[in-house]
Amino acid sequence: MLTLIHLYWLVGAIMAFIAVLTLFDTQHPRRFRSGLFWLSYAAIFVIGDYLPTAVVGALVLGMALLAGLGGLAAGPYQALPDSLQRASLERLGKKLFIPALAIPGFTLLLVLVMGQFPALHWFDPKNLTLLSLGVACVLAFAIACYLTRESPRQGGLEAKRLLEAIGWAFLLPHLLATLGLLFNQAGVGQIIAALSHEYLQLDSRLAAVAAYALAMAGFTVIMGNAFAAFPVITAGLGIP
Amino acid sequence: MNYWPLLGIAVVMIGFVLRFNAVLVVISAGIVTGLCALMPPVQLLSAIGESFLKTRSLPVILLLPLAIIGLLERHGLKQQAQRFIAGVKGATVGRLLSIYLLAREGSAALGLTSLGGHPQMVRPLVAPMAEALAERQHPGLTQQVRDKVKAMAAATDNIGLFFGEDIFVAFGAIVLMHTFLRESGIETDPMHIAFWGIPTAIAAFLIHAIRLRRLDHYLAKEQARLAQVTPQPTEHN
Repeated sequence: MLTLIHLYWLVGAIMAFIAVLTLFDTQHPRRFRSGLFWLSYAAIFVIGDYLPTAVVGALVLGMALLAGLGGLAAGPYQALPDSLQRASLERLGKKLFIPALAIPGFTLLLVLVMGQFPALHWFDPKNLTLLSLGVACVLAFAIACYLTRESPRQGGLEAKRLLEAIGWAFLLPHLLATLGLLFNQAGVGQIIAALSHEYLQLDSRLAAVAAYALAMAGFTVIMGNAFAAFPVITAGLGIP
Repeated sequence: MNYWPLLGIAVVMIGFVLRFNAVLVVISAGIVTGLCALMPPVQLLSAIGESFLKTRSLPVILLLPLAIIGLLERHGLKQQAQRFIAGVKGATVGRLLSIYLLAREGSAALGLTSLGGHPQMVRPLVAPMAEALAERQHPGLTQQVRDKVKAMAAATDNIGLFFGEDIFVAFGAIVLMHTFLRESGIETDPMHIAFWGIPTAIAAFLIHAIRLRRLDHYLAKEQARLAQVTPQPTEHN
C-alpha cells in the first residue's frame, strides 16, 4: 500500500539530487551552504523517522540559520535559447497545457476511483488526496518529459531552478506549522485562557463573541493558519 | 502560572514588524517559547524535530509540481497562457480572477484541495493570464502595478481555498474542531460545523469578488494617471 512515507522518499530523493548537483557545482555562488541545506532537508525526509528527534531538531535549527542568513542562492542555469523555445512553442502550442492540467485532472480521477474502491488497499485512505496528488505529479511529469522531449534530469534541474528562485521562503510554511505545534506544547493556550479569565470582563454575549472573533483573527494572522489558533483560543476564550 | 512563553508571540510580532528575515524570526520565537516554558535544550530540540517531522506534508505539496511546471516554462508555458487568454473576448483581470475564485472555492468545498494552488496553477497559468489581460486593457502599466496584479492572483487562490475547504466535512480542521470540542465536553455534529461554514464562504466570495471589480477600476485609474505623467507610456516586458 502506498503511504506518505513513499511520498517523503520521493521528495527526499529530489532534494538529495539538488544537494549533490549544488555541492559539485564549482560555479555555484554559495555551493557548500546551499548544498548542506538541501542535504539536511533530504535527510529529514528520507531517514527522519529513524533519527533521534533531537538530531532532527538540530538539523532544523541549522537549516533555519543557513536559510535565514542568506546561505541559499541560485546556481547557474542554462535556459533554452529563444529560437529553440519559440520553435518548441510553435510545435506544442496548446498541448503545453496538458501536463499542467494533468496534475489536477489525475488527482481528481485518483481521489474518485480510489475512494470508490478502498478494498484495493493501494492508497492509504487517511492521506488519499495527498497521495493522489503525488501519483498525479509523477504521471504528469512523464507526460511533460515526453511532450517536451526532455530528460528527467532536466526536470530535476527545473525543480532546482524554481526552488532557488523561491529561496528561504520555501522553508517558511513548514517552520510556521512547526512553531504552531511548539506553542501548543509550551502551553500557550492555557496561559491565554488564564489571562483572559482574569482580566477580561466578558459579561455580555456580544463582548464575549467579539473577543473570541478578534482573538481568533489576530492569532491566525500571527501563526499563519488557524490550526494552531483554534485550540488555543477556543480553550482560552470560547469554552469558558 | 508561568506567563513567559507568551514572549514567543511577541518575538514573532516584533520580528515581522521590524522586517527581519522571517525564517530567523520564526525559529527564534520557537526557541524563546521553549526556553521560557523551561524546557531543557535537548527536549526543546526534540520538540522542534518532532513537530517538523509531523508537518512534512506541507513542503511536499509545494515541491512536487515544480519539476513539471519548470519543464513547461522552459518550453514557453507562460507565453502560451498569455496567447490563449488574449483570444478570449470580454475578459478582464477581475472577471478572470472571479471565475478562478469560484472554481477554486467550489472544488475545495468538495474536498479537492489539490486542484489549484500556487505552484501548479497560479504561477504557470493564472498569474500570467491576469498579467496579460492587464497589459492588453491598460498598456504601459508599471512593474509595481503588474506585481500587484500577480499578488492578487495568488491571494485569490488563498481565499478560495481557505473558505471553500471549511465546507468539506472530512477536512482536517473540521475534524480537529470536532475532536477538540468533544474533549472539552461539548458534543457537535461535524456536518453542522461544515454546514455553517457556508454563509462565511458566500460572504468571502462576495467580498473578494467586489475587491476584484475594484481592481479593474484601479487599473483603469492607474493607467490614466500614468498617461498624464508621461504622455507616451513606455512599453516594457
